[in-house]
Amino acid sequence: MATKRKITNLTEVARITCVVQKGLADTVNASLLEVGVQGATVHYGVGTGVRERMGILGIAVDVEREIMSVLVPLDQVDRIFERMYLAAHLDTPGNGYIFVTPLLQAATYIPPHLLND
Amino acid sequence: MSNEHTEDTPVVAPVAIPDIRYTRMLTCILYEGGGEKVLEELHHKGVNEAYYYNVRGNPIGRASLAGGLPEMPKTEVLHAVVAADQADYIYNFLYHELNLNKEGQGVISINRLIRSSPNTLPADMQDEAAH
Repeated sequence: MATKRKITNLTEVARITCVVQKGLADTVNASLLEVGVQGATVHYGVGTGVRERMGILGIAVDVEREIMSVLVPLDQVDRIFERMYLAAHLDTPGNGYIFVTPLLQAATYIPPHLLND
Repeated sequence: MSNEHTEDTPVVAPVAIPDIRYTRMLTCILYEGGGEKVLEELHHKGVNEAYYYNVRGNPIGRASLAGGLPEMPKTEVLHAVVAADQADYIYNFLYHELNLNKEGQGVISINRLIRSSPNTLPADMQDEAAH
């Protein structure tokens, strides 16, 4: 007999995307794990910067980026946004930027004990 | 002299975290690539919040370039975060620049963002945007 399947949709959720210099995503992820935020994903990309200008006087911003995305509850967006901003040192020019995309709904495995609460 | 700071108590300026609320994200799927050129043109227009990455994918109607051979993916996804009042202008610019009105070139879409920060570049790179 087929098991009845159902989907639990999560609403009030947003995706925070952080574009950082290559090698920094692990640091940002560690700062998220410290406060219990899990499930971040990272992929590589190419951003705005200088491809060849390297040298003593030229300030070069590498174009290779790590792009980090994490789904978070809407009521915690600002807190996590600010944590990621500080962890990635985005107040330093050339280090990257961060933005929040609203989502209508999301779904994943929810442990039964949480569903019963 | 109680207000004087000593070496033991360094002054740490609080970081002002940006809180920009009126931004849009433009997303382009480019079946023939071209992200690098567009990034540069966006930079010259003062848009530095853009990036692209390679993905696999083919436009509707094109199953494969060469059956049985390893695929060389040239499809790219480009994202650009722009101010809400600039979004239509950049959207039109990308649409025409990337020939998205032609068959099999790609798709552009736009969506609202909740919050974002600017991508501040070093001073000498900021100047280049004005050229």
